[in-house]
Amino acid sequence: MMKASGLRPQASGSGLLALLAGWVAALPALGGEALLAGDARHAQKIYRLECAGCHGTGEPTQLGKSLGAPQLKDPALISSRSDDQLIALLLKGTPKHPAPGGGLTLLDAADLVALLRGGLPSISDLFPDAAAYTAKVYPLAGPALTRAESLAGDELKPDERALTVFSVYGGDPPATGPRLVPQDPVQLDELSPRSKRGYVVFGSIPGGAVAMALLPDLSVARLLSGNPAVSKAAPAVVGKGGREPGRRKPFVSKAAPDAARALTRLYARAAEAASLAAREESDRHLFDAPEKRNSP
Amino acid sequence: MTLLGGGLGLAALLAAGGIPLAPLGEGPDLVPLVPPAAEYTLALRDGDWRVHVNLRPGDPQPGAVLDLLFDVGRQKDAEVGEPQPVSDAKLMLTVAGPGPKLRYLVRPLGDAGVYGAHWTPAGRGLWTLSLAPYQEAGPTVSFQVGAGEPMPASAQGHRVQASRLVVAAAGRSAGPERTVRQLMEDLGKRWQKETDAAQPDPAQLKAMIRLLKAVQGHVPRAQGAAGVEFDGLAAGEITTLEKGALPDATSCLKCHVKFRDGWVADLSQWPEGR
Repeated sequence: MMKASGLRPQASGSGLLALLAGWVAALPALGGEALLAGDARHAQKIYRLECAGCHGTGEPTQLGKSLGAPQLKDPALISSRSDDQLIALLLKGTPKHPAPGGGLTLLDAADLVALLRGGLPSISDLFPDAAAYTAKVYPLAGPALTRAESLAGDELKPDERALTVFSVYGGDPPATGPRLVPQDPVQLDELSPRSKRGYVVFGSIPGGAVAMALLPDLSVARLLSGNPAVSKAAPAVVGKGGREPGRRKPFVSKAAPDAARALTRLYARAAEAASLAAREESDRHLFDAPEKRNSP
Repeated sequence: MTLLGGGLGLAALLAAGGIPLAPLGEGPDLVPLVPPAAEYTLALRDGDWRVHVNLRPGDPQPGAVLDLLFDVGRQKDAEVGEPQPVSDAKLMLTVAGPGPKLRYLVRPLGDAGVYGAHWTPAGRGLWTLSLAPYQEAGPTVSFQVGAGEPMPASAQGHRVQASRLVVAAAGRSAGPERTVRQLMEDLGKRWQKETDAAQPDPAQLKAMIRLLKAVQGHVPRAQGAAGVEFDGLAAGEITTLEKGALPDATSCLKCHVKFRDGWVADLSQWPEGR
């Protein structure tokens, strides 16, 4: 299933793109490519001048760390923001992230967005027919944390006790790529559970980062990673798991035992966080007509 | 007198020391007699759609960004009147040529009916650019662009030279004094060009020193009390340039985060900011 392919077109080039693309070099080309937000090649120059001072080319610089600059090659961070949000952040700034002082134009900002997205897995890489998705961070606590730790076989570190879950909905994929639906009750209500395709989580395991797609029944649908150990462990992971905690068992792979353990840990968190997302959605549609409420 | 005779006469005059040669630093900047075209424009039509394309710069080069502006209008009556700007079109630009075929989103800019996109030609050659709607109605037009080679002969396109040609300027330009922002923009462009080059060009380093010296003493008003620090940071960069090296990005950033962006108030703990 995981056929190796080259980088996506916007990731061709050097410098930051190559660094960002490092872990997704083995991404399978699944769906039709969405329109490029801008010219990533031009953005490399802007990035070096305006962004690299804090965000660095691999990870934030010392100055960036002291100012709280996040790592930009985090797919969860980038996917949880729409193009318009990123462009507004670059042009107008926020109290936490003032706009770069060099005076970017709209097209410069769009180029930077293309650079940031290039080389990172996107929602449509995991669900090619995704038309819309939501993003929300779910903290794990109480019984959910206990269950996750029980499956992981170890205590979760404080930074592992929250996970961004992307709930993905199908339909006709827009030319500009799937639409990020904000956490607005009216807009969330318009997303039909019948068009639900599944969930996506991003995590890191030793030797690289990984993207995991779950079906609505919380079984693992797809894995993406540049780490070859993940490909080896994939047969022991894909199709496993489920909504009932009893169906969730640690993944065992003789070919890549460490990767299987790390994927179990990620799945333990993903399944609990996705369950919380599913419960929220079911509450939202509690009073919908049954034919609208049911999943396909 | 023939040209050859004139040349010999001039050489003899120079040898005799009749014409004093100005030192290099004092001489006029060299300006090409025919500067590269500032723009290239095309007027295209598709039914009642009218698209005016503007490419900047007018001589596209591989690896250099090209500013593409599309002025999109619709002429309901094909015979009379001006085209009405169309501001709600959903347009994409497809680029095909020596490199990979790519599709870009074309964004509406501030003015009515004006859209834009950036595109960097990946290689030298003839590229075909197509503007088309990805949703709803819009014009479908295509045109060719030569990157690193002459633009193709086209009935719709023509080069636009600068309206005022400066053939040679004696000494310094008599234009208005440039602002600190303009000086720093110039400095940034030169720095970027030199960081891409294998070896810094001494002439560029010299120009950068001149720009930094012009900036000294012009601390931003908001940080007026830190004038000495501002000038000191500029002096540090000048020293590096005088040694024939290019300042690294971190040293530029040290000044930018405090004096340009105002993100950091205290640089005493550099490279940590507070």
